[in-house]
Amino acid sequence: MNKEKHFPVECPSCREHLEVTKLRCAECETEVSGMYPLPRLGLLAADDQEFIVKFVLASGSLKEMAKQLGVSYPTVRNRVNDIIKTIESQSA
Amino acid sequence: MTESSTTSSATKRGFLWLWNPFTTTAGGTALTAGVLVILISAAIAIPSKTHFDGVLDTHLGFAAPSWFFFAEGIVNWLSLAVVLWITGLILCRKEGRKFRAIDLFGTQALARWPFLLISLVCLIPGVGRATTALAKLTVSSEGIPTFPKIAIGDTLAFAFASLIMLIATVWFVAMAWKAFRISCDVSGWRAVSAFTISIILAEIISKLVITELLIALV
Repeated sequence: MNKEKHFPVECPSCREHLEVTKLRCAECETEVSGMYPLPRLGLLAADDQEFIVKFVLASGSLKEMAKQLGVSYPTVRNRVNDIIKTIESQSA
Repeated sequence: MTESSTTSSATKRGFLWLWNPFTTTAGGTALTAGVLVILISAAIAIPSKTHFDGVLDTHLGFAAPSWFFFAEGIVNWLSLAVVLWITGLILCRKEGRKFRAIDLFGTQALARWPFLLISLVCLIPGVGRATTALAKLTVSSEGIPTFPKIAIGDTLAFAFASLIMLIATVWFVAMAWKAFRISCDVSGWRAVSAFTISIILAEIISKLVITELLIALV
């Protein structure tokens, strides 16, 4: 049974942001090593990232998002506000 | 999933919706449903002469034209909704956020649905009789009250109705807070304080407006 994997973002020891040191091509098995910070969106929780993807696919329409998720417009808008706060606190 | 677990999860969702419908219902839908509930509550209140003569108040009393009962409901809703709208604008401006007025007004209308329970419970015949009898309570010059005779059944009906009124009023305040919190995305002690002041202000405003309507009636 394949368990769902979650992309780790935080160090389990000290809670600092993790960085990428190795990337691998699944096709030709080329490996790239270095020190790369995670992209800003990658620093968000998995469900927030999923929400942003759906938001873009809904052409940025909060109304459309509310319809798709089966929640009210202010609930969706409040979620966006929370994500904005999270991104702003990461930038600070 | 078995049929019984499907039914129980549907029941659970139903109760959760009654407790906090605003995560799924806001905007025009809440406004339509809320105004309908306010008007239906007023219509049911007419035979028992139940007056919602303030944002938080319920009194059984005098007969009045039907429009007066509807006007009370609308005044109560708008008094709190307008005050909370202004409060929300002040709170959100500090944080550079916006909210839709239709969400605020709609959810505040829907938040008044517990008053439907009060209208229904006041239809119990004994409630009106007990209220009329209690209105004849007299106090002597020595300060000794003379209680009117009230049938046991009427007393129990009145006590039951009073309990429902208390629960429904508290439920409404909780719903109005949730509606405000979700519509304006506010939280914390500042929002709670602002909400408390708003509801007191709205109660005063609604009382003043309904008194003016009463004077016009007389």
